[in-house]
Amino acid sequence: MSPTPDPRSPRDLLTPAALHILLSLSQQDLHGYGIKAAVEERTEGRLVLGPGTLYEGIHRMHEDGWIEELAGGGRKRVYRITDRGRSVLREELGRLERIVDFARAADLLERPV
Amino acid sequence: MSAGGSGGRGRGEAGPWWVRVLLRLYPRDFRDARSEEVAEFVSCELGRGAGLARRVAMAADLARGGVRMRMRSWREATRTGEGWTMGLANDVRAAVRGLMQAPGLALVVVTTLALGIGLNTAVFSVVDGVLLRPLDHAAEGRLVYVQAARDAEENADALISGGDWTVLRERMDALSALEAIGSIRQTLTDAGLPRQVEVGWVSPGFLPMLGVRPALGRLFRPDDPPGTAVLSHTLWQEHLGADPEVVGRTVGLDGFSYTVVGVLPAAFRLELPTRGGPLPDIDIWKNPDTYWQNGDIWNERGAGFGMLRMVGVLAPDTPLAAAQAQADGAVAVLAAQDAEYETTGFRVTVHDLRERLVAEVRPTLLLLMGAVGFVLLIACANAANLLLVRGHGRVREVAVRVALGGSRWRIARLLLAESLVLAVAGSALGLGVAAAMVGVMPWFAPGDIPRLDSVALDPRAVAFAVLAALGTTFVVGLAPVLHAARTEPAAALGNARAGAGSGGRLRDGLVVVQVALSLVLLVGAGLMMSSLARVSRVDPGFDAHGLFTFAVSIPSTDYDWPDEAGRYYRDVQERVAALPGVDAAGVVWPMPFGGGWGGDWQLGGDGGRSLGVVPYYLATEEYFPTAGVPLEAGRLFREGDPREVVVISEEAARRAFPGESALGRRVRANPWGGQAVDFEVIGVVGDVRQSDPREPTRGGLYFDARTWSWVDWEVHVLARTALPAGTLVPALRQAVAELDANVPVARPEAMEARVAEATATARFVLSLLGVFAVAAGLLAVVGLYGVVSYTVGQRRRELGIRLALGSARRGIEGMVVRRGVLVAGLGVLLGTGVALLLGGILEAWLFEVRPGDPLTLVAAAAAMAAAAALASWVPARRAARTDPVEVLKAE
Repeated sequence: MSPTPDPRSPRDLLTPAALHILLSLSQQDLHGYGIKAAVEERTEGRLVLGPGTLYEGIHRMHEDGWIEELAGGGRKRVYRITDRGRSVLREELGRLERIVDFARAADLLERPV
Repeated sequence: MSAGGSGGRGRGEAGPWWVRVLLRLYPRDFRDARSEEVAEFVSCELGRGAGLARRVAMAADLARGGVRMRMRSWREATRTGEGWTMGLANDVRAAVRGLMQAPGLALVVVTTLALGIGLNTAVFSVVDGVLLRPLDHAAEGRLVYVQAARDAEENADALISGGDWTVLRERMDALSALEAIGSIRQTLTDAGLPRQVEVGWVSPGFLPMLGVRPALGRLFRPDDPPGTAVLSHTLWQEHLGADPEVVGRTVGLDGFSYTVVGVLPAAFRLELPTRGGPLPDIDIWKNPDTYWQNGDIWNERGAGFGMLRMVGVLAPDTPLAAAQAQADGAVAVLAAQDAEYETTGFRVTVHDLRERLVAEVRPTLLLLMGAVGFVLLIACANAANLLLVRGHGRVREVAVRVALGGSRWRIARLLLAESLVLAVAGSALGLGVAAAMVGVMPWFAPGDIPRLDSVALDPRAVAFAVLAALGTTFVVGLAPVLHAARTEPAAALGNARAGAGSGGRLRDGLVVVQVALSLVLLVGAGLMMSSLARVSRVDPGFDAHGLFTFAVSIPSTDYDWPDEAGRYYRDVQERVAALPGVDAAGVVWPMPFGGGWGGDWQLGGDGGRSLGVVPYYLATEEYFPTAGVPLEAGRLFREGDPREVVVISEEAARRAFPGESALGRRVRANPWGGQAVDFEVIGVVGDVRQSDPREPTRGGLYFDARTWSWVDWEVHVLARTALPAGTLVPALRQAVAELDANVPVARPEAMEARVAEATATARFVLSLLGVFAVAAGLLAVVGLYGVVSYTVGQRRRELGIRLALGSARRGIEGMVVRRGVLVAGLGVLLGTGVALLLGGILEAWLFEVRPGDPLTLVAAAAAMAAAAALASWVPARRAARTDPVEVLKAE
């Protein structure tokens, strides 16, 4: 498969933080700190979200309807990914996959052991 | 502390203080929605024992996030046209759209502002070019003008002798240099037509002191022999065809030959303060030589009488006062050696060169700047008023916006954007006005404003115009904004007319201010006009009308003096008198308004009473009837008179011999310097004004041109003719050339033009004040007209009802006019007060008129009131013609 140019402008690309927030929420509903913990766990501590980055992302994704707030969460707000969020995530992962496919075909990656 | 443990906290206490501070960076909606979560997040982290590094990382992350969000929301706002920072571009677009709906009003406002900004920019260019810009010399800022003066001379600007300069130079070590320059006119006697040139006679260090670098060759060296010359760029180009091999060539001056060692750069200009305005541009520079009929002007002592001016450079870290103290010391030394320094009141003052250069024109320019500032204020008031009127037309629009939740700040911004658009358009157009004015100014500006020819509309002027536009924006925009801020939507929507009625006082107030300011300008122009009328009525003591003049100068290489020179004067005079169309001719130096010469005098005999300093003249007997100077007693010179006879003026006779006849008495004077001579008074003639009709005459002594003539220095030839000025010139040139082909006719001109130059500054101020006053008056009248018509428009219904109920049309007219005149009357009263307060400023420009001259005040006030009445009457008539039926139908 040949790589296709990405029609989106760089500004619309998901930031790594946003990708990881969506990834975490795709597994389970979480509150803010839970997202941070999940990301840290999945990346084995390589990505530690700070409060600014995390809540900026949450705020924007919430505004854009990619995630929603579960009612009755009390003081701890719990977030759930929406269908729209899932499709954004799928699209992003597909894009990454194409890049990885290309990289593999071009022999840019180490062979999996 | 765990997340759950913070449950009892209120909203206001979100987390540690630094979190609260950093959250201020975020947009409000984020803060409202997320503050608690962020605080909790941080608390969780801290609860798990986050170290300093983690805390710093969190703080940095919070800060970055905040900045990112702010940037994003700003970008979105400008893109969509929403939010608190909706782009300036949008405001401007909206303003332009709005203004396009009222193009007439926009045009009037833009024109008004263009007039105000344009006139101000033009005057600023002059003030900047003349007063503010540094001189173009390397030592600028430390250059000083060292000025000699003597008591008896008003406008003291005495020249100094070479010997005195040397004493000053030795004693003033507060100056790192003190160089001297003499300026004379000589005739270039090379190939081609003879031509009179300005010659600068400088000490060798003079040009290097100014930091000049020659364009060709070199400057003077102390060991240059006499007869060395440096040329100006202009002369090199015009006279020597820009010869690149000019260094080493010789040029002839009055028959002597000078070796050229260098050419100055084109940009070099020397400007020195002199009595009659700046020194003329020098064509040829020469080093000191002793060739001069009066001897060695570079070394002799002269009790303050001499031919040199001094320019120096202040030593580093030395105050001007130190140099002044040393100058005083040097004068004291001179006075101790020779009592004459004391009796003539010889003194030396040290000035910053640039300040001294512009000292005389500074007040004039500042006066004009102030006056033109008034015009801008009036223009602003006018524009504000027009915008207010427009604002009232839009009162419903504003009310609707307010009612719909448009913030007052948004509305204010839109109004400010409108005035910004108008001001920018006005200043663009104003730059055109300014360029035109700067272009024509040198034509009618007096010649004694230094540096005027370097005035141009440059980036600084443009910057000034931009600043003026910004200032104008706020001044103009303020009134409508303040008014909009007070709009009560409910009232305005409920009854548009009720809303429209308010703000009338503000508009009236603006008109009062406009009328007052223009009255002040009108009074100023009136005072100047009546002052000039008085100056023109002063009898100068001679009849300038029909008098044509020029100068000739004969070289010592070809003529002996006094005999040959005296004969030449008579020959030239005879040939000119014989020309067709010439009734009479005479020779004199200096002619009235043609320069200054003078010396001290005393009663004849040893120990005679000193009479101070008096103007000297050299004249032929034909001069007096030619110029129309009457002989009051005795006789004029005649063939065969001894040298020791003198004709004196009435004022001189009064001073020397009060209450007695001067005829046959003796006075002592020294027209050629050196030893003073006793003269017998043979005649008394009328007094003439020497240079300025406003200055009282100082009398005069006339020496016989037959026996006291000179060479290498010019004399004036006067011709009385009925021919139009100028038509005589070719014949004059021919007559003079026939006599001696090497003698040029220099500066031919009509005497009336010469006399007019004496009042040029006053007329310049008057013409500009006049322009300003007329512009201001027009603006004020337009403003008044606008307000009255607007009010009438608002009251159409009321007036219609009144008419329907039987009011006389004339009564309605009177009512409207009365109101306009009342507003204008307040302005006139205020303006009269201001004019009286400020009148003193004008005093220096006035002649025989008091600043509070009642006639001028009354005339200006009456003119203003009449214009106001007219401006009100036009809309009043329209009001009176209102058809009541139509108005009531319209309701």
